[in-house]
Amino acid sequence: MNPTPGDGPHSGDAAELLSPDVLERLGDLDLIARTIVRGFVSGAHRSPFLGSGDDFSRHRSYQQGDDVRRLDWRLYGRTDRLYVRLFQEDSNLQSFIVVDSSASMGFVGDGPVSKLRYAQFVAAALAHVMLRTGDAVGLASFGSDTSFHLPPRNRPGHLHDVLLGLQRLRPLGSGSPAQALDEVGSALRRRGRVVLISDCLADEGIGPLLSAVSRLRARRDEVIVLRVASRLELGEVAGEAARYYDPERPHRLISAVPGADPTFRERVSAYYDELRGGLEEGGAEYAPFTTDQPLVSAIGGWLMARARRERPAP
Amino acid sequence: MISALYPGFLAAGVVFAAVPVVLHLLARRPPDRRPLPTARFLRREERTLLRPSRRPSDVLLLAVRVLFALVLGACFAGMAWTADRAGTERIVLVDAEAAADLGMDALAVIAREATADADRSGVATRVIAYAASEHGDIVTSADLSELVHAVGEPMATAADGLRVLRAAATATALDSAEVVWVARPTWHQWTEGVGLLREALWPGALQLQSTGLGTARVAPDAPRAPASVELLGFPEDTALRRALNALGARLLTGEAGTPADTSWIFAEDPPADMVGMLVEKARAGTTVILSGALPPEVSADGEEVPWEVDADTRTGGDAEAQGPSGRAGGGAILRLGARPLGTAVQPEAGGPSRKARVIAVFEDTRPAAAARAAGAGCIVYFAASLQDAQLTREAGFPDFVGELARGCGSQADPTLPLDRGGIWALTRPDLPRRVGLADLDTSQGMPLAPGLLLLALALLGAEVLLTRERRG
Repeated sequence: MNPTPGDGPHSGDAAELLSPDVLERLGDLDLIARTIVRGFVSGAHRSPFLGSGDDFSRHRSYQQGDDVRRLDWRLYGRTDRLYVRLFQEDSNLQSFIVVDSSASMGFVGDGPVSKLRYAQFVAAALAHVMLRTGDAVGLASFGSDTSFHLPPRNRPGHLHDVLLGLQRLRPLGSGSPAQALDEVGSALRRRGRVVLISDCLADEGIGPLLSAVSRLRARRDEVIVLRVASRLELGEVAGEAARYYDPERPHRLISAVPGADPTFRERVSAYYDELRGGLEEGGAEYAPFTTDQPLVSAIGGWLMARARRERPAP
Repeated sequence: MISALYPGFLAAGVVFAAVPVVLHLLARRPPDRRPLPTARFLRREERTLLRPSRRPSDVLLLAVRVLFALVLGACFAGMAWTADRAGTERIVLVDAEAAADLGMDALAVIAREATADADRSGVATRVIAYAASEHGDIVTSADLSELVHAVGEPMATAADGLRVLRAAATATALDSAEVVWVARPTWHQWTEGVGLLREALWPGALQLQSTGLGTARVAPDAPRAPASVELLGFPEDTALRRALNALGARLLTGEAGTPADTSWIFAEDPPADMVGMLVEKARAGTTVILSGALPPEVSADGEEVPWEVDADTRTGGDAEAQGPSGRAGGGAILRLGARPLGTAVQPEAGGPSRKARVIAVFEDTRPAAAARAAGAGCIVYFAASLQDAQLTREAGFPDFVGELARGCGSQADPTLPLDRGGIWALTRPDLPRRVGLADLDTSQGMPLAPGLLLLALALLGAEVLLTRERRG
């Protein structure tokens, strides 16, 4: 079962106040990412990205949020310090964050920030969390073409490079998420994790995207699709009469009144429902975000739900 | 209170303002272009192309245009602002010449007496003194001591005082006023046409506080007040009636017979038997003023009639061909020391009798009016009609009528006290004491046109900017 945005551990408390427009005013993406992560990690008790491999790799100092079942009590008895045991999968997991930077991601709609900006927030927060848990994080984007900004790494200063790469993204062109996933999958030298942050709107429909996800899953890669959209484009906010155009196809104008057309919302919902169903059927994870959601509760809620789902209570 | 001199322009402004509203409603512009990533899921709705797009800037622009039209209309409508009037005051109108005779202390007593009841009733009192300067201008002052020094020749007349009163009263924001007039009522107060101007200048009564002479010291040969006047042979609505009203005369209808105390009798085109009766009235002390055509037998019958009619000239035909006594010519009537009256008054035939005194002449020097004593009274003849349009339209007509009535007496001495009729005509006790000032104020108030013009220019500038922004 997918988490509902906003039902995270901090929904309803002060973390809710960190709305996207408030974060936007912070300016620095690093500061924004740290703020988001601090918001949901401070109250969490389990790290969301720890794997479950069987081969012991090494020890690491205990950090707040780590699973206490991984504590090495023997080592604690000898050294009087807390260490957690890391396994092969945990320490060597390669992750790619793939951000959609096509023209449609520049859409602001009724939200406080554009979809790309929101995606940057999400990607920065995830990179921060994944690097902190020992994953190697790479960064790719696709607009007109797929761009590989950073290969998966986990070394000091890499987070800064990731944030810098995210900061440079500009909404441009019309790209295919399926092609981007294929190219990223080719770049992963072994089993890894691909996080796609996109509005998942493609001319070719959802078929190629699901196929690309299936190919990644066939390699036992973990695939996470984080959909970012504004409520206006979802039809949840009534749009006025205008001549609308897809930012990736500005020459095609459609005179319409979205607010007066109930089928518009139904069609958009059906599209994303089909996407969700296809992804879940293919073993991928799908989490929808809207640009007006506070990031702490949205990301934190999803991550905590994910952690609960993968490690059910004993 | 805002008023408009030309309200039609206001209506035109409203009509003009409707033009941008209609154009705004008729304007069909395509809706805005807006991005929407999920535009592929929209259902095309062509009707939206026909629907006018409502933008906030459009509404603002429309408001500016409508306002511009209304302001422009108001600008041309001659809008003016006048203060609302409220309250009553009592004005003590002081003739400075008369006050100078009295001295300040006596004047203060008069003013205090005049305003005693006003103070009790809480009505504000204002003292306004007036005089004529050496150059003949009217000067006013609230400080009488200053004004007395400015007094010179000629003396201020009652008309001067009325003009000062009107200007002072209408300059305030009060609703009504009543007047106490402190003056010395001599014949000098009586000027040409004042009887007609009196009510127009101040349509209310003047409560006279005489400073001395009054009517008690009437000289034996001074004009007497026309106690009562009877008109014979004149229509009901005649200019002579209005002129006599202006002189303060009490008019009799004539239906109940002529009372014994009738002062003046005017008779137009009298038949021979009426002339005989009027001569008897004149002998009894009445002043009879005859005018128009006289019957030919009058000259033979009554030597007391001051006019002789040449029978030969009354048969009609060309006046010049009828001999030297014909009455061709006429024109304006000249009087000693006064302006000419009328320009084409048609004369009657004949000329003054031997013992008659000529009191007015035509501009061609022929006699126009003559008077002759008859017993205790006087008979005056005016060789034209007193209903002549050229004559009755003149402002000096009432004065001329008075001169005719005083034909057997001497000319009024300006320094002599005004007679009772003159005082009545000036003070007009029959008019209301309190006068509403709103109707008197014919000023236009504070004109709003300059401010409205500036506002219109500002709106025009805003319209240009908004239009440029809309197109850009």
